[in-house]
Amino acid sequence: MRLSLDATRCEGFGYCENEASDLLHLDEAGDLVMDVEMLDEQQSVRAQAAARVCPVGALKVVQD
Amino acid sequence: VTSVQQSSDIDLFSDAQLEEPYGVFTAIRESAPVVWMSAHQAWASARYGVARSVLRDWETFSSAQGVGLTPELNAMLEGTLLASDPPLHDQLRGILSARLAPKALRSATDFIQREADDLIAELSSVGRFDAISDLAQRFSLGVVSELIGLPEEVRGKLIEWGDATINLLGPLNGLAQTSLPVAEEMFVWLQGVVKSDLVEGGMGRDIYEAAEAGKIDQASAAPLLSAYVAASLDTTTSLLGLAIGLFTEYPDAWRRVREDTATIPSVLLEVARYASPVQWVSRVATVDTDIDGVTIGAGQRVILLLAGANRDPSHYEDADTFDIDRKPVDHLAFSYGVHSCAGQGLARLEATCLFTALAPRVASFELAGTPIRKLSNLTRGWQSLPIQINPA
Repeated sequence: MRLSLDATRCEGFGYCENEASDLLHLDEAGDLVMDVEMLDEQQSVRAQAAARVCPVGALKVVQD
Repeated sequence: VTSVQQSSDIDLFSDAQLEEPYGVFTAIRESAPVVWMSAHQAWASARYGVARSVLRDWETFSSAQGVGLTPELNAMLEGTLLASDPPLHDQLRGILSARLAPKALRSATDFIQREADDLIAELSSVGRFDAISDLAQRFSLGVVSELIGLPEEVRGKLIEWGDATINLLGPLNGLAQTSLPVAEEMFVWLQGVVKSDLVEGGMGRDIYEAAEAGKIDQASAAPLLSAYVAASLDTTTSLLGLAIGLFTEYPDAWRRVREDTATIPSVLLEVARYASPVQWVSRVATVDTDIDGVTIGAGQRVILLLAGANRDPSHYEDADTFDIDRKPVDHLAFSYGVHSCAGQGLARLEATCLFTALAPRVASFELAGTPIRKLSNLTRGWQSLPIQINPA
């Protein structure tokens, strides 16, 4: 599993960071950076939470 | 108790319903996933799960046929940000988000905080005032006119123009009829706007520069400017007024905000969920589809009652209780998905700056008269909220 970001939609609200700060973060410029490529079971739970709070639906947990 | 089956003839926009909407929203939510509203020839849902999944699926539930309830308004909205799907939507939204995304708003934070501090310093010495006309409206008007960079001569018109435009989203009831000539005045002004009318460096001028640079059609410029003008005032004013109203009703919540101002953003999440300044949005099904067992025909409109969804007890425990510890990060008050409010970062920033300014100066808010509801076809808030502030 991995967290997929639609960069054209992401506007940097940063709610996802509160849910999964170990998986992604807003950099100094305010752009979202993904820190983990593949998700393990526990990470995928936090990844789902991060995807859930994105106001524009830019994040998705996908099965490869 | 209102009873609703799978179809209903309730008018969602009668004065009585706009005064007190939640009883009907509850009845709609409890009776079916979506209910056919014969008065509006549209489906309506007050369920959280339905609203969220419909708003996420913009391909099945499109905005491109207009998001208002009358064909007249929808014809006028054609090709605008509100009434478009990707890819056109994304192109138009990009122009606004270049200025409204949180990172773009950083440079405006000091200005907004200063506006809030100055206004609250002045009002603190007055003590008793109207939280809408003297505070919420004045504050958001000052911030927004400056950020958009509007010419002085139209700033005084902005509140009534914004109110009128959003009333047109509903059915052609009395509110919409009264609003028509006022909105018309705004459209006439918009059609005549040229780049040099707008202050250099402002959000408005950016739109016309983007059109010059070929990033968007020339014809899209005026409608985008109207998105700023119409969407930025009544919505934020409603949110601020509703928050102050709740602090008069729940003095303990305000006391706790004062003790820890870092909680202001999360308290505002609960204000937005509980009070839902924007009450509904709508979409049109592009194909025959199914919502939790109810068949929606291609071309049929679905009204998502955001205010009802935000009070859905299957998603929020004790949903009708205002609870500042709830932190409802997934509320739908700014809608959700591709059309999620483009100005939500600015609304949050304005509200955070305002309550940051109020916290050290105001020990408590008290009602100093009878509040008057503002009736609108889209938003819910106060027309007048007379308050007395007790200084800290």
